[in-house]
Amino acid sequence: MKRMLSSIPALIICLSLAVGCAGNSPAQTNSSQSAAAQSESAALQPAEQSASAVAESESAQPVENVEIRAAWWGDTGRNDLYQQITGRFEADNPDVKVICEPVSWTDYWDKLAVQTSSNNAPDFMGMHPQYAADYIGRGKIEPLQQYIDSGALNMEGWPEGVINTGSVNGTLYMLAMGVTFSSVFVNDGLFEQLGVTKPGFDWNWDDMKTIGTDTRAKLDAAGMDSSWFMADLSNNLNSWRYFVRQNGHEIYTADGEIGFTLEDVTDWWTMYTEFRQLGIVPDAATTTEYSTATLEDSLFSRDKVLAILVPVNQFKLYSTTFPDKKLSIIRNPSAAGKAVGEFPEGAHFAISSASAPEKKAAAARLMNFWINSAASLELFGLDQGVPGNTSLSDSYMPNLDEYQLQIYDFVEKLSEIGTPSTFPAAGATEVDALFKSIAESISFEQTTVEDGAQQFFEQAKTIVADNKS
Amino acid sequence: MKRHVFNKPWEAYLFLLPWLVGLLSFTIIPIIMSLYFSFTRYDMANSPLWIGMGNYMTMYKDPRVWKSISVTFRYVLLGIPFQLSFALFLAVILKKQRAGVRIYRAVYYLPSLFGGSVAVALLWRQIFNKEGIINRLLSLLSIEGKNWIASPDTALYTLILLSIWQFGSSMVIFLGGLQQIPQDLYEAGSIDGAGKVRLFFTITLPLLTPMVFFNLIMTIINAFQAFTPSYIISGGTGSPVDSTLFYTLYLYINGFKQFKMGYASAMAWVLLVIIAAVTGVMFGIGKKWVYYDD
Repeated sequence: MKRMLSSIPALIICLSLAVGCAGNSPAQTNSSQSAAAQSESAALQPAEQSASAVAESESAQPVENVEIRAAWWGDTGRNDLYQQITGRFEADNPDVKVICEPVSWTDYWDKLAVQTSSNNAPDFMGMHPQYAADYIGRGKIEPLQQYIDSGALNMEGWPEGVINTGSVNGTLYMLAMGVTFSSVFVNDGLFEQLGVTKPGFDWNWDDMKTIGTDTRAKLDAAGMDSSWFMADLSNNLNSWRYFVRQNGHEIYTADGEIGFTLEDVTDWWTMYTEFRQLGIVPDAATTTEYSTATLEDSLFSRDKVLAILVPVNQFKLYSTTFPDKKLSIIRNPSAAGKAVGEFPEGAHFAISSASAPEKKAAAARLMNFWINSAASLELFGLDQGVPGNTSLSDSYMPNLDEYQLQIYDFVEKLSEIGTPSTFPAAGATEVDALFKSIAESISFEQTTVEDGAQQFFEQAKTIVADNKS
Repeated sequence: MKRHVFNKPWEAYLFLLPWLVGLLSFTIIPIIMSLYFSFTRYDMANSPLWIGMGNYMTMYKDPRVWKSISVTFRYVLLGIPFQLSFALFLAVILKKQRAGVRIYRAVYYLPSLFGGSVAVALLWRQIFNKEGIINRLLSLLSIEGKNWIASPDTALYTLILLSIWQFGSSMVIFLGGLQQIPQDLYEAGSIDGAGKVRLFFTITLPLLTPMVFFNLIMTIINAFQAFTPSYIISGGTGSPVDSTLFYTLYLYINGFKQFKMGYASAMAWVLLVIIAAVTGVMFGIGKKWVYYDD
């Protein structure tokens, strides 16, 4: 009996370790390799200078070696890029060794939750407002003001508004990697090939229905019966968030309460059920099959959808990952005559509060290097949106390539119309999971839209209330 | 006799110490802690809050707990009979000392070595996808297959198939049992005119019942704790529509994804009780049909 009992937690731990390692180890070796290559090339240029400097500092005071773990989410292209950035940081800071832990977006949050639970979170990590409340509320994220005071983080050139995107209840916990907006990438080549007029820059949900129906007909005529206009986003909470905002509400109010109405959910799932029935978006099984696919293996990659909702900062990533596709950027569908759904978004960097003080300090230095140095920006570019450090991004402007220019233009345009949103409440992770599971149940016709919406509305309220106490 | 135990030299305990420390810190203490946590609300950041039977009451009312229990029971009840019959079938075939039989035994054991692994679960996804091998084979027969893994009514069966595939260790135990059956019984049976089928059901199977019983208990305990296949194949969610939501997976989701460690601990203890009860019932029934030759 003891064996059985003991094997339950052991099993879980082993499995989570196995899963963690599986995602991790090849990337780690990768990182150390590219980091080594990077520091080599960096060391080559100012060889004499840095050699003497290192020798001097070594004789003056022994270099304390700190090893920090840095985690972010992303696809293959991004991981290569970020490992080059940490490589440059290591070359500049020989006393710090950075161990990179890149993971895909969905796995990232699973892994971080497990690591955080065991007080083993990475010292330096990507953080997203969507999930931040669950970590900040539990005291797992280090407040950053002290590092600004000590000079480790230099906030010169940062507009107040951008800094504040990382503040919760007046305390700064994270710094924006960049400012971005949601957008839709359109596969122009495929639209031309089919002879469908693609949606314009400003389009709305009615257009989605008409253009989607037209696309369906043309796809069927071309024998592409397992391709669709767009992916099914009925289970995508962020996408629904724009819809709720178009109705003049927020998912969460500024006080961390539920801010949406029952109609907001019902209308959303009713609309998508229609899209699914009309063949504008894929059937439920296809959506499930591709829900965990990597970018290279996604519906968009395989030409199974013609358009996809993505934060605009990834335009360069998509364009370079799919050089054979001709892509362009349009807005998320808006609602005719209603409020604007888009709001300034962006991923952030944060430091784990569970780390040792010297690791936190090193993590703050890495953060400062990443978002405030020309050496980093040269590589980082607009990968996470327009950088928060405006003086730095202005000086970088002339170097923008064609893809980055389009990203920059889009962010400029949307900055004028987008309105600020609220911060998701604690429990947001659970609400997100609930939304996905009910949306899936509706798409498989196991639950009606009305019942599902009612369930979501009630249970989301309970979750948020439970997380307050 | 009893005094003898305590008369051992004290050095013996010194040598035992590393194991004792491990047992205490990684097994005994966590077990006691988890029992305590099961009566609390605990998110692993703030200190546990005593709520008595609260978690157990919530479980009773949680439809997903019931759903996960039903999924797990279906997995156990449908998978194990097939798995064991298949293992026994192969063991009987591989019992005979023919040329190359050792190679076959090794080959058939192979799936069990990596059967529960992440790689195989990923492979399984590829096989049963819409454009997977199974559907390509079906398309040769002009049948349009569905997406087996992403459809709520078939997803669990692909996992059951995956579990049947891991018959190796049961097969090895059956092989060992088969070789202990005295040859003269078969000779006596043949002289009396029994055919192969008759020999199997009147000699082999009754004498093999202790092995069947052992395998049954072990596979049941393992099956109740199955986690990897559903975690990997459903992307950690139990999708589609909770049709592959194993009990252990729901436990994991609560504990590690939604920070409800108290609730997860309560679930772990309920699982222990379920497994203990099922095993107890098996032992009770076992007395009636297991034949011990002593």
